[in-house]
Amino acid sequence: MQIDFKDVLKDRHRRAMQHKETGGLVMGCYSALLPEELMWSCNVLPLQFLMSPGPYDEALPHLPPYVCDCSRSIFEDHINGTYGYLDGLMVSHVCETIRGLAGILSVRRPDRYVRLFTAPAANDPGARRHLKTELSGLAEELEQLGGVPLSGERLEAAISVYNENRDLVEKLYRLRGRNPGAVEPEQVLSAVMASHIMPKDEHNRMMREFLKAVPEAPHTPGIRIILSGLLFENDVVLGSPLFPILKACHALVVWDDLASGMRYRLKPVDHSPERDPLDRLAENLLGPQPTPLRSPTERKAGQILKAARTYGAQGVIFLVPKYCDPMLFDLPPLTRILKEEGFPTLSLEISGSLLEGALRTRVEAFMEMLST
Amino acid sequence: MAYTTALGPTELLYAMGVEVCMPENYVTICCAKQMAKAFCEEAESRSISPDLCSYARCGLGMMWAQDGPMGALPDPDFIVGAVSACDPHAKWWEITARHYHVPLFLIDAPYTLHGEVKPHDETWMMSELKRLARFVEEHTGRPFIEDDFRECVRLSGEAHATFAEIQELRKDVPAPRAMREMVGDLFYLITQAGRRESVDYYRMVLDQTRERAARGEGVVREEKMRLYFHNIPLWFNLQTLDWLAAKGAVVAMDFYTNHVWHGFFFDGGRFDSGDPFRDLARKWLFFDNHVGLPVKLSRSLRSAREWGCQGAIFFSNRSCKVYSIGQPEQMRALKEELGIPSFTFEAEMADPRSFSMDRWEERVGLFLEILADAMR
Repeated sequence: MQIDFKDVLKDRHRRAMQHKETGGLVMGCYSALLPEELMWSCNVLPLQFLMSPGPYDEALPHLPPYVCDCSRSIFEDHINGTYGYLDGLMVSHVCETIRGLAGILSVRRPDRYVRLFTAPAANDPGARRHLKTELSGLAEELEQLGGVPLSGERLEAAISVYNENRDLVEKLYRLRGRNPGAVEPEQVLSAVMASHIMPKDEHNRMMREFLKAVPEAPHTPGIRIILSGLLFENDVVLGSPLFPILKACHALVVWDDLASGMRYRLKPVDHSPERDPLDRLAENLLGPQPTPLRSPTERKAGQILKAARTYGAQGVIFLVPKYCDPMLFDLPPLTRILKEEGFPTLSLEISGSLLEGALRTRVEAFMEMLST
Repeated sequence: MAYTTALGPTELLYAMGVEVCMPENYVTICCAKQMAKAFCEEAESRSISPDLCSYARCGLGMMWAQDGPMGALPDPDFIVGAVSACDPHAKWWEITARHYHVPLFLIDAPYTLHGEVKPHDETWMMSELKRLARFVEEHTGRPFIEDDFRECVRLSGEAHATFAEIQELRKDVPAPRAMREMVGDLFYLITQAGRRESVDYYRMVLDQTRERAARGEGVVREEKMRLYFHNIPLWFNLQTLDWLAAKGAVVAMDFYTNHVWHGFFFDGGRFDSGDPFRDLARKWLFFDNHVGLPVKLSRSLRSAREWGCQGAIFFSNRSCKVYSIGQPEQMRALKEELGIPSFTFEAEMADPRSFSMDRWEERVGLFLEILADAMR
């Protein structure tokens, strides 16, 4: 039977509780730019927040109207008890809103562990030393919360499991890129999102099974596109109008640069056993990083162009959350570069979840343009 | 010549013979000259979202239009941004560097949620400043000379210490200097930190303020109430402060001049470590942009309490999430801990399209009436 990662996503709170029942801790996380390997080696399950659709009534009096729905969703779920089982919250400095949110949560719930983590944008000896010290300090904090003390052996094992996971996700992307008809885009995104919220060793087992079951489908004709930006969890799990519209237009997603997809930290950690694993983990986290704030637009453009050429994409659809400053700044130069290289783009502003009417008109027009 | 954010670090650049130009600062002049709207629209016509920071929109508009309140800014040789400060302070400069085809240096910094700076945070901040010194050497061919840097940091420390004395005098009733004057005074702290001129200017202001204080002379003819103002001023409409003054309401203390660039000194710090890199690193670590809400909150409480404020105005600034997120928590703390009520309004500091003076007067007028009743 084909594994459906949507079921895992729907069941994520129960699964997280299971980890706690075995004596582990669960850390609510925002952004992939966090030392998940270190957390896991301390028996702390990093659980990336998946965005709920709203409305965000609890957040209304606390957050100004001009912040993104991601921050509203995290605030709402953190305060209303959805994530009441968490042992703490760790966010990465990937935008000014999320660090502001960490401040609000630390003031509103001073009894809870709230940690802001900065992975330096530069990669020089000073940044490396800082990050290594920061990682050691973080391990001590996790131990005080009830985590397992950091050991080289456990960290090495965690790195190994995480690297295997990256490899499996890469395989899925390559497979889909070569033959996008073989696996639906929702399935790919569900698989990656599931890896954000469950133990990686378990996810690896499921991924191996999933990959084995992907059929050798015949070549599927259609318009090949890339998705970039952000898709909310409910758009994937509960069914977004985007995917049926794409399907109706004979559009095939060959790759993505979504925050919940390929932008998840997929560069493997160096596995040379002769080097301190903490050094290698620090090195992996240093810049330039796969987040718009901490890497130049040209880097992102280069990655999208490479994937577009590898998998024969004809156009790119950007899904841009309202009030996401780093993405909004990237968008004009990014679309310009892609257009200059012959790749048309469509930008869709999203707020909460995707609305079918406006979406259909714009996507259909874009696909028509690509097909001519 | 370097473009930098308003955070600088001017001390290091001046020490290395680099002239500093701050487009962000130029935007404030543009606003005062009522020219910002056209430049914001220029940027928006080039697909820059109207949801983005109005400093960035106006600054980019000036760049593309090659114009400004006193003409176009000169072209930079390199640009220094700050990825740690806010989103525009990284991405705006990327666009600018691309436009001028010049190198971009981004300073990163630790963000201390609770204000507890650990030794390795300070070491990294120093390392970032040293990395910048190497970058400047590489791109200008000018060597870093420690004595020159030491002198610039000393002058900056003196300017900040004098500025702190002026701020202290604002505690006097009536206030001998207030926000309307101080937001202009700030020019020297931002753009001239590290130069003799900034020290001379603040000494002059300090002397004048002392004299006014000695004469019991306030900036408002009849000081009826003292306010705390939170966020960046409305640069295109500083008359809002005049309007308050005409009602006898003086902004005795404000977040912007006290907590943002001056946070380290406001918290009691001084440049006395003996190491200019350490001193400058500490200044950077305590910019409001680099501290979390628990610190922001205690600073607001202290400012309102020590400067004897009876009410507070919180400007919810669509152009600055860094300063605006967490305002409700600060308003609540002022009310619960000090009994100080707050008024809040939404606009943008550099886009006049976001603001209606009539509506503002009506609403603030009501707030002042309520405040006056409560004070009786």
